[in-house]
Amino acid sequence: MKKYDEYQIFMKYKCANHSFNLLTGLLLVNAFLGVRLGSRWEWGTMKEVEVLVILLIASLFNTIISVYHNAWYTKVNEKRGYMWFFLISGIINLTFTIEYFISNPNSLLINGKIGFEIFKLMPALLGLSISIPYFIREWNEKRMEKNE
Amino acid sequence: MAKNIRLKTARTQKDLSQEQLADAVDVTRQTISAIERGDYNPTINLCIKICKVLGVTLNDLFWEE
Repeated sequence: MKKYDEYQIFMKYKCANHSFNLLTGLLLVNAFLGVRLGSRWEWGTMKEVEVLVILLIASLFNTIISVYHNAWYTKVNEKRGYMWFFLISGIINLTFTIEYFISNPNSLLINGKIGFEIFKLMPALLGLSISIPYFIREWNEKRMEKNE
Repeated sequence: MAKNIRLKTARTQKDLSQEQLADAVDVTRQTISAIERGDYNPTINLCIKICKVLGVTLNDLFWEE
């Protein structure tokens, strides 16, 4: 038995394609503005931070649209349990991270530029991006069924 | 793409839910939902599986006049 059905595989390719286009677009825009505006366009403490933040945005986008289109989990996964786990862990992580940023206000932005500390948000964002689209989709499907 | 009303009708005539049909043809419920909504064109293999479970022909479900 295959792990994913044909529609899930099709959606996985489609989501990956959209994410790759987004990644390429953001990298190109960032590089173009960097060349055009020079140091005025530096928004990360290092060039690596800028590239990693763009990668994070593209991967989160991929996660969100894959979960929304049911292409994230295999067809036999017990999704609801996982989703609640990711939602709760995401909220807990986000609370702790925000608390950390409030107690260390200079760690997130250094001279107005984003530092490596931004990646402390990653586990929280990942947890929320896996769970929230699933619940939105579920709610949306119920709404559509009612309309039919 | 137009909605596949004929699939939905054949499924309800057999008294099957989307979940039950999905289990019978080894796909997820969302895949059946996408086919019924007309968002996805299934492969011929999946079409045959669905027709076998519902006891209808390919023409009955998927042939567009």
